[in-house]
Amino acid sequence: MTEQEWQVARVDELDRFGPNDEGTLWRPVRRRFDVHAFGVNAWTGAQPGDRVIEKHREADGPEELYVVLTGRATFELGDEETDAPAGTLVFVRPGTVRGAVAAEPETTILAVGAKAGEVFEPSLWEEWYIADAYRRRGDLDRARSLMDDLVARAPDVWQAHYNRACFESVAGNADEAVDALRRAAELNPEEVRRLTPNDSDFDPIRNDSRYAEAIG
Amino acid sequence: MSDAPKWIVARLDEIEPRDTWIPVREHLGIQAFGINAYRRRENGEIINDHTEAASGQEELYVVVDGRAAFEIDGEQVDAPAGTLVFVRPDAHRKASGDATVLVIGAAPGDAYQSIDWGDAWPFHRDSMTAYGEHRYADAVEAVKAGLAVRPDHPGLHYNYACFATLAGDTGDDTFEHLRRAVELFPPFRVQARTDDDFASVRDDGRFEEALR
Repeated sequence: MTEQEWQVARVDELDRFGPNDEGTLWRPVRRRFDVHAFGVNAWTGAQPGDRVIEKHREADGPEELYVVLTGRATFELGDEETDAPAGTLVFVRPGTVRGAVAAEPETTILAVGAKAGEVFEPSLWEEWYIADAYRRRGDLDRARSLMDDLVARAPDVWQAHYNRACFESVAGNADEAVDALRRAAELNPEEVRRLTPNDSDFDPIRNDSRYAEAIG
Repeated sequence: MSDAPKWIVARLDEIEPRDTWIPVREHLGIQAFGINAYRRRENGEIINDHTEAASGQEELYVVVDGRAAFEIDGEQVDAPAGTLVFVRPDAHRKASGDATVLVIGAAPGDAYQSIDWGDAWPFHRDSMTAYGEHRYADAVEAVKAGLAVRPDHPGLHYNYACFATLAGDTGDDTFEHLRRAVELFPPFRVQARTDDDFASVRDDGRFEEALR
């Protein structure tokens, strides 16, 4: 496959995946251009009060630079809040809790990230996020197909199998769901045992005798 | 543990520009990828005509305000604020207009490495001006003045070797500067092998010696 030498996109033309439970809309950039050298994505809060950047910490993670492209955001950095109108740059080192909430309509933030001293590798969460977005839209077949691809790419990542098990369970495919859950539990038994009891995705297979056997 | 702050908030206007570019990466202390901002020069140019074939860098241009006109591999691209232009290493690109363009760059498959110019910047700028005008002896003088201030700056050592070679000074001292540059910043080893500035000394045994 030949790669395109260059590509152009307007921020307002970027796909919108979400909103998730917090109102965050993911606007893929790295994936759209197939950037290999650094992570880059845009996030939008459509209304004031919508979350733009999930409150999170990147433990052992990338350095991240946030650029407020449009609107106005309130950044949460550690215990502080900072007003960030369009044109503001916020650079956050790993380990610091950070998040951002829209203070104006259509607030879009570009997030650029990579780990210092390491070769960049695209994160699997991008595929997961898209699969989850299709599921939320009701397109379970497309979500399941993306999860199959993800498992093929990352056969040793327990979350991939776990999430595939969720989708297969919800889709009514008990055999596939049990197999995927078993594989997830082999890779990370503690986390799988911790998460499954409260994960309603497994309600359809909870009474299947193979369910308890799979999580061990 | 590092004393570096956990976060830094800045606006482009608060960062002291270097001529027509704004050293965002250095100001924020970013180590993981390159990022700087560029504004219109007197001749209307924002991004000079270049490729990143030598560095192998992918570049993402983000038009943060104003309106730029890009030309990429001969094609015109209108780029108002909010435009993202992603360019792989081999494509020719340039931009003009009245805009602020943020440029993010790094090479796939390599851990990002870079040099901070800090207070060596004015000497570097003067040396590059002289270099651009083929005044190589003046370029060497500017670098020497910089080394008096920052004796361990890898970029100044490297450029000393380049400019001295071009000025016809191929004494041992020139190779010692190249050796020191590679010692301080190993990526210079690869760069030196393909750098046209060293064309006249590439067969000199002292050149390879300096790169060991």
